[in-house]
Amino acid sequence: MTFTGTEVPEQTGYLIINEDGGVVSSGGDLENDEHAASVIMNMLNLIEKSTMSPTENKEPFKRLSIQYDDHLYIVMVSNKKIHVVKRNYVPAEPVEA
Amino acid sequence: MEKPLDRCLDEVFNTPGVTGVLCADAQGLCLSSKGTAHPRAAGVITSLMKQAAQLEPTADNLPVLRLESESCNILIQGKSEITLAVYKTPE
Amino acid sequence: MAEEMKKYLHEIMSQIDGIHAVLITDRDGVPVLKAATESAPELALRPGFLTTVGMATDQAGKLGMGKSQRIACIYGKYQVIHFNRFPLMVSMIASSTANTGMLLGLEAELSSLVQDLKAAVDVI
Repeated sequence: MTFTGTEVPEQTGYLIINEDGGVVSSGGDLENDEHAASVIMNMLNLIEKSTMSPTENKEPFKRLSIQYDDHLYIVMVSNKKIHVVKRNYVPAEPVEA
Repeated sequence: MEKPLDRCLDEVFNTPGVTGVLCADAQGLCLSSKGTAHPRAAGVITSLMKQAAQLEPTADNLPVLRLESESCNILIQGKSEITLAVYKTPE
Repeated sequence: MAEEMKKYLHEIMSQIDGIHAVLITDRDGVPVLKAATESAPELALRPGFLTTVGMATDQAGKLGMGKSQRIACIYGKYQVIHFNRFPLMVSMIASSTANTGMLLGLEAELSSLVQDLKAAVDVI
């Protein structure tokens, strides 16, 4: 199934980046956003080599989220490609009893 | 001199689910750390925050970063000169 | 072989913004391996400057807290980080805005390279 970038609810943009940092496809707010791609690649490179992991065996990370007040970016690595989705953040309303 | 900071970090550390907490300065040096957060991580944490700030330079606030892995989530936020990282077990 | 090591040093340097030079020297400041960018301040690459750290390390060892392992000096425009790997010394010169924590973290990455050089120096 090809990623068309419309699967995620409230999505406003997407990017697919290959291992070298080149943008494979993009859409919405992130259309042709080379700057975002390079910033996210730099962050992933830092995480890959990091001494941050609390566990003895450095387990690979699953997902990185970058959250602002009303929107967020979600970054995942799958199949040697980096998938970035930008979507609106709607905080859950507290449930009235 | 660091008592107020330590008290603050203790409060966070004693929250259920939190396994480690780390506070770093603008130079990437660890001000204080507790639990599973290793002081060595201070450099990377600050660096990540600096990078994230470049993603949207015009945003009002710095974003909150969340690094998820199998056994641990690391939440990172910076404000002016300080970066804070909280290590939590996934819900 | 020295070329490969220099390349490795340059690769490590590219990981952190603001690093100007990495030098591995003996206690007299004589360079064993040197990798520097054009922005490295010339004076800081000379043995005369680097040897002062050897003396500082020795003095620091007399403070009653054991041997000095690392020294970080942050100046106005530059910062200099030294790792004591007797009989060698690793010195890193970077801009004062570079991430000191990350620079200190490089010790682990450079450790295998320094071990190899140590073995070579010991033989002489």
